[in-house]
Amino acid sequence: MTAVGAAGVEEFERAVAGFDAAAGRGVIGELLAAGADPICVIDEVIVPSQHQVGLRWQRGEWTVTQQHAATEVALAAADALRERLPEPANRRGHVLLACAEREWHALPVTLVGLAMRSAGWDTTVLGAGVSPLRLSRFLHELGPDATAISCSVLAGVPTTRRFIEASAAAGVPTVVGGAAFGGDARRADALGATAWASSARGAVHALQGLPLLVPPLPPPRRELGAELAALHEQRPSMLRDLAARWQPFGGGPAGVRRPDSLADAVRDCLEQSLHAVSAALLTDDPAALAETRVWVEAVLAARGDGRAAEHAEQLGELIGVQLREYPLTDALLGTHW
Amino acid sequence: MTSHVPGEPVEQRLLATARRRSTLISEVSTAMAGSLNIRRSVLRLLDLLTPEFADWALLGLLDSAGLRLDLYGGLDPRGLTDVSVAELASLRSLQTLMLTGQTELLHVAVDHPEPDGLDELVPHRGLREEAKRLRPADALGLALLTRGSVIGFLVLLRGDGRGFTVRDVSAAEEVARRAALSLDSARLYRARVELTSALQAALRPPELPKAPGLRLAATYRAAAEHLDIGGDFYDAFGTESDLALVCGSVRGQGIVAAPAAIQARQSVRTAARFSRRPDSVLGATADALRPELPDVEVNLCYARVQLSPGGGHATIDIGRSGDLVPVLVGTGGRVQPVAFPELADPFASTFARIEVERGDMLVLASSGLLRATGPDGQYGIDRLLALCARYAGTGALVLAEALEQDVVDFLDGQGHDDLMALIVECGS
Repeated sequence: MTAVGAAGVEEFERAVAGFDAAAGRGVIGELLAAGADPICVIDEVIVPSQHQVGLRWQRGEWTVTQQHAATEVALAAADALRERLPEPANRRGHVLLACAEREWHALPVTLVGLAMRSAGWDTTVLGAGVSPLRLSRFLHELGPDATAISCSVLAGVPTTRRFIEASAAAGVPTVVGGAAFGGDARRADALGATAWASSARGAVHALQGLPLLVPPLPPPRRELGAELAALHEQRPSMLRDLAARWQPFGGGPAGVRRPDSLADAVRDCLEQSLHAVSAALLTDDPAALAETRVWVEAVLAARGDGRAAEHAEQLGELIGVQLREYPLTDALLGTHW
Repeated sequence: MTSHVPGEPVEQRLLATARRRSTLISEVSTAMAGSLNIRRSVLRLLDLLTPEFADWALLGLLDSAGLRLDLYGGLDPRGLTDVSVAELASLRSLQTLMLTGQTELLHVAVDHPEPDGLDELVPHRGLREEAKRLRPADALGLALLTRGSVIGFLVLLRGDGRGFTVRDVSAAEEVARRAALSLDSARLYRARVELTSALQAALRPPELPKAPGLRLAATYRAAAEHLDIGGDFYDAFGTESDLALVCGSVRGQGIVAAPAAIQARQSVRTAARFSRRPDSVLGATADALRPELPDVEVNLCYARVQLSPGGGHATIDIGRSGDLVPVLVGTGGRVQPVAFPELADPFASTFARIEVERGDMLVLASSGLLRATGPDGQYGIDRLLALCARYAGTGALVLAEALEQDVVDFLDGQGHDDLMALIVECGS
């Protein structure tokens, strides 16, 4: 197995930037044929290119549609990887991989699944937007040795917690990873995960140290559960109210719609901010709020909002007004947004 | 459960032992209820039993035909092996407990160079050798008896100085009773999984056919998401020069609707063997289904895709009976429902022909998808058209993923009918 050179990385980035799935497949095929370690290809070539795709949307350089088209190149690369993985002689066990509801980035979980396969694990990848009911079905059907959960957006954190609960109830340990967990194990620990990983290689390594069985998780504190339930229930009405009050790019002339790309960005900012509140509560990590405020500001600034910082701040205040009846949330927003 | 702290009064020690027995019994039901998977349930049980209650444990469970015994346990609980039931004939103690359900307690002669009772209780050579090396004093064999049948056995070993007391045996019998109930539920669940998997495989092709000049993608979310089966079905078969796409639904959800949906799918396949023309296929399918499913409403959309020899252009003949709405997505963002002649009878078959160029897509979406209802009302054709316009030119895979996300996000956690779409893209 050889390492991946800079030329391969650049060539793949060019394929992604050109939305050229055939070229992307070709680059990955050549790297593997030259003896590159599949996990290095995942961690050093495909994942960094996807990070750039996300940043390009955040900077307003690409639309959501272009983002999807670029991700197709990475999915084609994953196909090329899958086709070239040898069947290991001895299986180490079975891993069930999934993304929680509201998490639509299927690529990371697909790549981690391939990394695990390359290390000798059997895998079943359920993909994106999986409901707890569906996950439970596969937990009972397969009886896996581990559940691996990928979560890159804070919106997926509540269902990720339910995935961890469902797995632990069946005695199955969990490995979690993805941008929603931040840069260390704090959020993963708070959610009750057995292990946290920051890369495909880390996830494979974590599997080796998992216990055979884990105990069921205790339920969340009553007051926390009540606030989370209220947040979930009121989210549609809060979104409508916030959309009416928060006008980051100015309201514009009456009856004139924002361009789709700006409307998408505003909607994303509102939704992500409310999800950040739930995630911060659930993980007991207020950093999720500060990170979201910075992200909102960056999204607005990249789309020409000259008062991005002020509007990001204002969004936190508006959410705070809506949620002031909830003491845990109120305390978090007051000090950490 | 005879371990004790030196100097501890006898009464306290006995009380502590009784408490541990009682805790073990109550924990067995709770712990095993967490999983309906046989292996995970057994692992939980073995984890509870060893090393405190027993030094070594082995569990055997009959397969659904009653011909083989799956064996779990020993020193490495991850291991799984099996033996034929016929091999039990030479193991008198094990055979007795499997036939009568009666507990067998064997006192093994530890000073004897070859402990003998294990030969009659452990039905696997490797595991038997492993058990003998532990030099056990007592071997306890328990039947897994539940709902009137013996479904397996449990063997527990203890070393010298802590043989099984009468109370230990009673506790072990209660553990076995509770474990048997949980494991029998897991066996029933496994049988259901096998059934639903077979139904699921009959509703959709395992994978879409590879047609070099075309690109296919599909999305499917059953109303009963945990079953993956329902009244909607799709199919794709043939080659790029003559490819058949089928999208259909029968009224109803889950297991109840699945047999009719499977029958409809198979009828289309059979009809298409004689002619690929939409009028022939829909006509023959209706003739086949009418006597079989007289009271079942079947919505069908059948598309025959014929790619031009050089690629980059295809002729699609579409036949429809019912309310499915095929949508044509042009590369430039021009999106429109396929126009069919107006008919007096809305359920009569109707036909259309469209010509598509490189990058154009045809979307066959189920009525359940269009009727998906979230907090803002029904998803509807207008949202579908708007989404298709945004993703025009991106390809079938991207559109299928985006559509699934858009509908599920729109639902915002609310329940839904079967959601299905089949997409073909020309000239990729």
